[in-house]
Amino acid sequence: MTPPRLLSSLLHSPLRPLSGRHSLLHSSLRPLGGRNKGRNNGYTLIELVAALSLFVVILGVLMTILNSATDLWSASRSQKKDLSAALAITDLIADDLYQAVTDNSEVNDLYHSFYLYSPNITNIQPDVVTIHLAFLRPASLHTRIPADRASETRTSLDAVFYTSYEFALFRHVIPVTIDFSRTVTNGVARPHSFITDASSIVNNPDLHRDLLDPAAPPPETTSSLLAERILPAFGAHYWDVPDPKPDDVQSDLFPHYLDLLFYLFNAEDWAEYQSIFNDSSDIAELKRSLLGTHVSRRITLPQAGGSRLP
Amino acid sequence: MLAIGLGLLAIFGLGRLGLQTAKETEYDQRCAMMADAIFETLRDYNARFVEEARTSNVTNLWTIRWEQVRQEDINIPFPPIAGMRSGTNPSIPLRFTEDDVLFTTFNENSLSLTDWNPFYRLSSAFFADPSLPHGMTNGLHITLTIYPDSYTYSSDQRVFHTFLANPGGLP
Repeated sequence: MTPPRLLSSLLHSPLRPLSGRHSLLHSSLRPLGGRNKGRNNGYTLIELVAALSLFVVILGVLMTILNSATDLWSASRSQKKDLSAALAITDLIADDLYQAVTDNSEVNDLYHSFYLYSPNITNIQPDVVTIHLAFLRPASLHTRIPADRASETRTSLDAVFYTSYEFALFRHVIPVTIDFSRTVTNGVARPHSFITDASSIVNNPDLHRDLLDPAAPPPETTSSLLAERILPAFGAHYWDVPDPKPDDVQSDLFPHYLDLLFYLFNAEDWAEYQSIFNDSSDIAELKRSLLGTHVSRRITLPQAGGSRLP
Repeated sequence: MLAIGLGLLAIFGLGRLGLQTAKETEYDQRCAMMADAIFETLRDYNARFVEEARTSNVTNLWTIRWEQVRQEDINIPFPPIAGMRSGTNPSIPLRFTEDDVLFTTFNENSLSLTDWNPFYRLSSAFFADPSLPHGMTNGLHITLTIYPDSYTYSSDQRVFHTFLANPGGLP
C-alpha cells in the first residue's frame, strides 16, 4: 500500500475504524482478533474523543471534590487550632481571676482594684493600647521586675493586665513596688494606686510592637503575646445591678461573673473580614458571622461565695 | 472497571469519614463550651442561693430556691455562648426537666442557619450529706445532655455532670 492511497482513504472516510488493513498502528499494536480480519473491530475517533471527554469530566469532578475536602479539612484544622488557643487564653484569664485580690480600704477615690474596658471594635484606634482587664493578685516569683523599679521595695502583689494592640491580645504581669520616699503621704502608703502606677508601663505601644516582632529583643517585663488577629470582648456582671455597664467597670468590688467572647481568625479569614469590615449590607453581615472561630466563656468568681466543687 | 469503581468508592468513603470526624470534633468542643457556660451560670446562681440561705432564717432555703428553679418559678436566662443566639434572647430560659423532654436552644420563629442550634436536657437530683438532719439536702447533682444535631439526631448526644453544694456558714 502506498502512502498516498492511505491518506486519501482516510480523508474520504474520516469515520472509518482505524484498524484492519488500513490501520495506522503497527501490526503489533493492532487490536487482537485475527479471525475478524477485515471487520471494524477497533475504536473510532468519536469513541476515543467521547472516552477522553468522560475521563476529563470525571477527573474534574474528582479534583473539585478533593479541593473542597482539602479546603474543609484546612478550615477545620485552623478552627481547631484557634479554638484550642482561645480556650487556653480563657483558662489563663480564669486562673488569674481566681487569684485576684482587692483593696477597698478607701471608697469613692480615683483608684480601684478592678478595671474592665471593652470598647466596640469600631472604637479601637490604630497605634493605641487598650487595657481590657486589670487587677491585682498575689505575687509570683517568676515575675520580672522592670529596671526602673528594681530599686523600689517589692510587695506581695502583682498587677495583671490583659491588653490589645493592632488586633492582638497580650498579657502583662507587673510587680507592685513601692518607692517609700515618694509614695508615703502622712506616713501611709497608697496601695490603692498600684494598678494606676503599673499601667504606665503597660500602656506603651512600643512594648506591644516589640512583642509582635519576633526579631525584637525580649521585653524586660513579664509580657507575652497571646494571640494575633483576635477581636476580644469582655463583660463584667454584678448581681441585681439595675443599670449595668458590663463593658466599662472600675470598682473595688469584683463582679460576680465575667463573660468573655473571642473571635479568632486565620490569615485568610482575617483578610476577608477586613475587606468587608465597613460593609453594612446583609450579605456582608452574613459573611462576617461565618468567618473566624467564635469562643465564649463565663467565669464565676469564687469570691462571690460560690462552690467550685467539680 | 471493578478496581476503579472500588477505588472511587474508597475515596468517597474516606472523604465522608473525614468530614464526619471533623464535624464530631467540632461538636465535642462546642458541647464542652456550652456545658461550661451553663454550669458556670448555675454555679453563679448557686453562690447567690448559698449567700441568701446563709443570711436567712428560713430553714433549708437553699433547697427551696433550687426547687423553685426546677419548677420554673425562678427563671435563669440562657447564658451567652459563641455561635448561638440563645444567650442574647431573654425569652429563652434555661429549663430543667425530669422527663425525656428535650428543649431547644433557639426560637423556632427566628432561627438562624449560621448559628449552632442544638437540643438539650437538663436534669437534677438532690442529695444529702448523711450527717444532715432528715429531710435536709445540701447538694444538687446536675446532668446536662446535649444533642448537637438537633432535629436530625445524626450525631450522638454528649453528657456532662456537675455537683453544686451548699457549704453553709454563719451569717
